[in-house]
Amino acid sequence: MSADTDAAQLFPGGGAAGGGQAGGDGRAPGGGAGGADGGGGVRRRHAARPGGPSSRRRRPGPGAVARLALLTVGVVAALLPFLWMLRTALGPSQTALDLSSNPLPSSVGFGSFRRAWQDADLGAALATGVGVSLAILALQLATAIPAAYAFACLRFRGRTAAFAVVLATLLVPSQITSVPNYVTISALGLADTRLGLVLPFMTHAGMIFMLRQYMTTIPASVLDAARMDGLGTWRTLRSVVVPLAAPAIATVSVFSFLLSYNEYLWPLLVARSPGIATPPLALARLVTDSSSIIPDFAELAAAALVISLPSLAVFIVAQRRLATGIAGTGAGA
Amino acid sequence: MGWRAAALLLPGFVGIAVFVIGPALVSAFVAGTDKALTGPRLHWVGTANARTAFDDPDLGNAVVNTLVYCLLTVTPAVVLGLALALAVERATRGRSLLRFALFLPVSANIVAMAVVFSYIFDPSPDGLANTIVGAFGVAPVDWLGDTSTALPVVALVGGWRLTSLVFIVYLAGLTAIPRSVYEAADVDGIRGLARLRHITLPLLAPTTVFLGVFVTILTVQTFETVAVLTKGGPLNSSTTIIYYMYQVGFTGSFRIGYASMIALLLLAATVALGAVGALLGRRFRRLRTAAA
Amino acid sequence: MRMRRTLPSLVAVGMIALTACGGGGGGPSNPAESLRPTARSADAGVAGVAGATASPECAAKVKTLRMAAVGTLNDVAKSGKAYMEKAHPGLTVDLTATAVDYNALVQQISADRSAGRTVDVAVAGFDLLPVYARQLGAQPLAPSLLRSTYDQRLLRLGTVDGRLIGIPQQVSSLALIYNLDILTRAGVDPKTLTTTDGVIAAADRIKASGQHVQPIDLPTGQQFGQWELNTLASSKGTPIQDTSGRPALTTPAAREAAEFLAKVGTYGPQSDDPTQQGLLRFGIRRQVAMSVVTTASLAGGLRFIASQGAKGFRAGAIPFPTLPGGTQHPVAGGNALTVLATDRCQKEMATELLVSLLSPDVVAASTEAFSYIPVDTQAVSQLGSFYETYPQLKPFLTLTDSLVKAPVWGGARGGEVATALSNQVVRLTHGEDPGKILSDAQAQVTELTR
Repeated sequence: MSADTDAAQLFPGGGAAGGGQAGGDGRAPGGGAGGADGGGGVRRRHAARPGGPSSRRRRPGPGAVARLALLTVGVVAALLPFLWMLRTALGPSQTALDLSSNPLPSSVGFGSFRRAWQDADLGAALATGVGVSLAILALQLATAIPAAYAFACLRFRGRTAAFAVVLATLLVPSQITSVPNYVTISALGLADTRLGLVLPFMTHAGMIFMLRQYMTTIPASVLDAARMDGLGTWRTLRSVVVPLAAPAIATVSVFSFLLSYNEYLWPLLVARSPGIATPPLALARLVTDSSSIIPDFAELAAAALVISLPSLAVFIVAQRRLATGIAGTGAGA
Repeated sequence: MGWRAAALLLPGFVGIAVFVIGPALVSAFVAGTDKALTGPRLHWVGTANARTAFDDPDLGNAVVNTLVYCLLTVTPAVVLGLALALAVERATRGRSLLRFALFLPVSANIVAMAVVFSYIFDPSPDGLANTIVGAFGVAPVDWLGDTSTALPVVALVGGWRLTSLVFIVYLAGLTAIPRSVYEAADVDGIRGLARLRHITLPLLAPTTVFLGVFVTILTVQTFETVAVLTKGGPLNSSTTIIYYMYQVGFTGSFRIGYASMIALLLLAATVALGAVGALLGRRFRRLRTAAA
Repeated sequence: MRMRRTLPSLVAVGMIALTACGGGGGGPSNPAESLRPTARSADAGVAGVAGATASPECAAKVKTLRMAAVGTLNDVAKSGKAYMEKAHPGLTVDLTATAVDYNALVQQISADRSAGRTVDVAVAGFDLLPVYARQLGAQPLAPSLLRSTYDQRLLRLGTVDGRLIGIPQQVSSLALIYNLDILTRAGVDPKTLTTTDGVIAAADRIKASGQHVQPIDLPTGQQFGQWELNTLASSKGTPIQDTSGRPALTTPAAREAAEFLAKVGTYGPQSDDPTQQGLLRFGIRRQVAMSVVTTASLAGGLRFIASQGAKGFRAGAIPFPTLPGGTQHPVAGGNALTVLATDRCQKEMATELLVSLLSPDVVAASTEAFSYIPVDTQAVSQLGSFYETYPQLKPFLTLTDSLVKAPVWGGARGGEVATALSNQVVRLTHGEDPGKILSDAQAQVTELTR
């Protein structure tokens, strides 16, 4: 490799990638088929090292040890509460609260899961929660992807202002919009319906924001090539931009699901009949509805674990898309 | 180009206009009234609510708490999240499992986790947190019941979830950097911290920008964590702005007029800060490129 | 791209689920929902009540009745629904019981009002009765509607601004529970716990006995703080709200009460939530010798402790202590049924539903689930065996005459007083000066109720 290799030669196509104007930073991580500006303002000439590639040391350096320590602490901190919940769910009803911190419960059984399933009507709640969240996700992707593309790759008058408006709506707290939205939904006859649970979330500004950021990293050369191939705006979006933005789409999908699945205030107002309760409502009711005065903590823990399963499933699916997305697009320069 | 862009933007804008901007405008109107959540009666009071807000010591307390909370959570979460993402990306084995484990905190339903955390932070000497600090010779602390520790504990839980979120987002950003970049850097002998500073971080800039904005907005709007762990207490020591707004408008006297004003002022302040930040950022960049 | 293939299918599944399941939620899909373990099915009805049945003209006209309750009252509400739908074929009673507490319920009702939908019958916590009366439009009710067996002495608990707008349905007061084993080991006679002096003396003896427990824990959350303060002050005849509606926080009785609470705070951290923390520390972890619960939780709590067998202990309960020289005048907590409908026929049908919920059988069944003080004398006679099982509850039955109404604060911000006062009590237990706290509280409440 020539000692003069610098970022510009690694990333043919140069130039500041499009995002510089409307609030984004001009830098572009390498994405897509090969080209990207390797850091618009930080194009440095790397000092040439004589003798070609230096020999790779196999001995783990301090960096690796630090990384290992960090990962260990991180994983333990992340898992601890869930392991406790698992232990509580598997153990007898109230002994989990015994502070003797015994890692293993005195007796193990799945009865708490069965009780939770029945008392909180988890089957219906899960079905509703998953259905509603997936429908919301579909609507959000359908509205956000085109909008993000427009903000990132197209130039038009008022683009900055429009994007600023979209960002500003992120600052409106959900409690504030809840009652006016309830009035709207009620007027449409959708109170106490699943569609009513879905509709107000049809667009999410945060999703537009993140997708737009990611799409700004798509080098202009790729878009130019598409245009020269005769692809119109829509085809470009479908066949070029969306595949390139796959990791971001997978990520925002996970967050969208999490957000709508764990939403509490809106379902409290809209879902009145027992049949369309969402998981957070079902869980909250379980906490207060207990037939015994002291809540059955094993049952609560079991319910909480079961309720979190769909979110984990969505993540696992998205993870794989994330990984394939990378392998499919980024590998070769 | 104009009409095509409009067509692409239309569905999103309809959703935002009807379900966010519309209600926000209604709320802005209500902010000038004395409306109660519970009934249709209202009287226009103009800027009286704004004046009340500036004189309200509880609101001032909530603002301070929120700032402290942001300070305690944003930077650590972003730094840790990035560090974890970098570490996981370099890991040679079990990457999927690591990703899964580190994703769990943000995936959890916070209501469900409340029981766990009240157990961990139990005030008795046998509580998990007290056992840990006891090993360092610290006396048992009433974590959630002491006014000086309630907010830090809430920040710890919030930061725990936030780190997980930052981790996931950076993971997406990182995986977009092709191997060729690292290979070339390797060839040039750029490794470790230098590589981080000159290659990885700049390439992650759009992600960082997104996270900077998004995480700040999230922490300023902290509600659920507080509602579930401490209900703003004890003695309002962990009440954040949005939680205070909720207390004012949705409980007690149900003063939705004043609550709407609080939200409006918060929005105005954040927009102003954001605008100032953006202007400064642009000025700074221009200075830097001029100097380069 | 693989993602583009699976994502649409995921979406399709979601949409299918959405449309297939149609618009609304149907009836309970789980048979377990219709009959919970401890509440048996009860017969609601208006048999034998003269003025409660709706006129035939209205009965024919009204097709939907809407009732809103909190989650714990699901069973009670369902029995009313069952009765009304049986007595009036063609009528549907829409029941909302998804709220977890009274605040959430008010939020739901308010949202409905904004959207132009009225709830006909709603349950109101005593603390929130003023909101129902002054803001949600609760309608005045006539005592003549009620059964002869309804304990009319309780009606004063449901009046706001001189009008009867809520019929008390579940009434409770504070009870002191104690771990008899710990007390015996410390040489404390439970009979001395009837006054605050006795309680402090007992706490000191428990501390001296070297047992590794906190002598006393009086939870301050869920507005228990101000409930405790008020109950103590009432025992000397001066509750924290005087007869003209103004705060009376600087009376000698209030001062004594504050000093007692401050002393209690010195024995250890006081819990926040009475159930999640207080009862937990007392009943499961046995870290606390004496604590406080509502009569509603008493039977359940005692039952639970007894069910722990070898890991259990002997527990006892008495009405919350009075100040020295005082008499039992506990402040009442609980909920009342209100009618929010304004249309004449809706109001008639709503009233019938309300009265049906107060039938002796429903009251008895509800007491068997949560041991509130029964509001119907016939229900009391039905509960003979229940009171044999829980003799600790019997003294509470004699308190009906002396119950003090929960304060009804005026002014635009009266609804915030309860929380403000509970916060002041927290300050008391944290060791701040009682005199200063009470004068702060007096000023604060005066300001809020202006």
